[in-house]
Amino acid sequence: MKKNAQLLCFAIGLLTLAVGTQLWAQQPPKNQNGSSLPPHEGEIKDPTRTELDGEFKKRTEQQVLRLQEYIQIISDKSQSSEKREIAIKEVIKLFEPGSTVQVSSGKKGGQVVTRPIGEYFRRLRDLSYPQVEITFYDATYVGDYRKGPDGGYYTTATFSQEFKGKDDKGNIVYEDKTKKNVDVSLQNMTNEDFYKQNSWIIKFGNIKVTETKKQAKPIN
Amino acid sequence: MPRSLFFLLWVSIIPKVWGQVAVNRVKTPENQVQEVKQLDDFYDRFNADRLPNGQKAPDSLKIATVRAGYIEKLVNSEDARWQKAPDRDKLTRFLRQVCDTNHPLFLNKFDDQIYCIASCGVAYFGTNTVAELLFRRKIAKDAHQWVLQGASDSFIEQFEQKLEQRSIVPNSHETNFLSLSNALHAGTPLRSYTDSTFRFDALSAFIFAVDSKLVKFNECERVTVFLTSIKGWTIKIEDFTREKGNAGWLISDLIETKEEPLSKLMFEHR
Repeated sequence: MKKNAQLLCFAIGLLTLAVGTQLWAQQPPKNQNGSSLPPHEGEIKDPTRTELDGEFKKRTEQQVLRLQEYIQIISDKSQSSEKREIAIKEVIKLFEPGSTVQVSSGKKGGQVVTRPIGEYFRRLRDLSYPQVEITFYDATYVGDYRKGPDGGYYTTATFSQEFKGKDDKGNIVYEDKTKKNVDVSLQNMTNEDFYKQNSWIIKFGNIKVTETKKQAKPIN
Repeated sequence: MPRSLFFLLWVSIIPKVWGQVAVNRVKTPENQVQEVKQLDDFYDRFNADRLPNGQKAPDSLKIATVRAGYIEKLVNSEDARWQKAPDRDKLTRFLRQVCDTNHPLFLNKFDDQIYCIASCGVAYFGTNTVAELLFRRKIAKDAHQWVLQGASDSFIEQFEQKLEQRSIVPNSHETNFLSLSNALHAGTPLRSYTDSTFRFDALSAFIFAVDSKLVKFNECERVTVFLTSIKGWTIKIEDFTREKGNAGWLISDLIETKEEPLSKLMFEHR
């Protein structure tokens, strides 16, 4: 009787071992992070400080260059109106919806005007100077990215612009220098298939424009 | 010779010259003074990590005397009070502490020891005025954000001035405070019945006033930043708009603090 009980226990033990091993074989092996989940093809990792200071700052500078090129096209009256219209549509795509531009003299008590980004670029296109020349001087400064509460990364890009409004003969009738501070965000696009391989995209946000030098009155 | 090359030459030669002269800081050449474009730029220059052109600074810039001269150029030079006592002495005390040869002090651009006051245009019962909002940096799980911490008392003073003190007779409890009900129905503000020592909590009042449309919020017009990580000091920084040179985010005041900096102190020095 005792021997039968021992045999039964042994058989149950063998059975448990056999079934358990088969079940175990169906489980995926743990990955390097200790997680048992297989790595997702488009999985997004937070960028490292080195990446934020290197690759992402560089990409931001390139994006600012694109913005500056669009500003020059939009304001350049020698360009076709079709090309300038396309430039407005394209430049708006670089911005978060709802972004605004605040223009101020930078002096205490000075007037502050805020406009939607689209209106700002359309006003730039419609300036009544026969010729407009916009140049950018000094290197663009991109601050350090910081993580926000929503998981995105945020910084500001600063660049300086010189504006010249000219008459038909090319004489300068108005000029100013402005400093532009643009909000920049790095956004994670994991939910959209297209971005799976390039998951962090750069978007511009609000712009603060401060006049640093002004001569003569603007026409528009 | 390009500016940056001249600057590098200057920071490499000056430490050698320094040993022979009896001043406590080496003056940064005026032509090397450039706009501080952002607060991050301020941190990098204060810590002698970067040159004004953004290049990594040579180690010689961290030498106490050279760094002191470099930091001095981060002070608003158009304010004449820095040229004479007592503010000149205060600046010297600050530089001596920060640029101590044995224990130099640096700012951490990713810490939470930073506050700011946003001066905002508001319309209060049709009158344009300024409300000042105090924000502090909060960092949780590596995520940074500004959180609203306070509002200026000056905004509340406008409320207080317009109120007349009233009282409730001592037997009102016997008649379910009917006298109070009647007064409130007649439009008397409830605030009139508080003790004269009562003060609104400025932030609560401001939030209520904005949310209930008593106050129309227009624009934030100016920002003043306070850095509090250097023990014993609160560094006040403002953005000075000038075409070039000593411009951008500069030190506008140094506040010696014996205790933890309070909201009140920041509003006093806004």
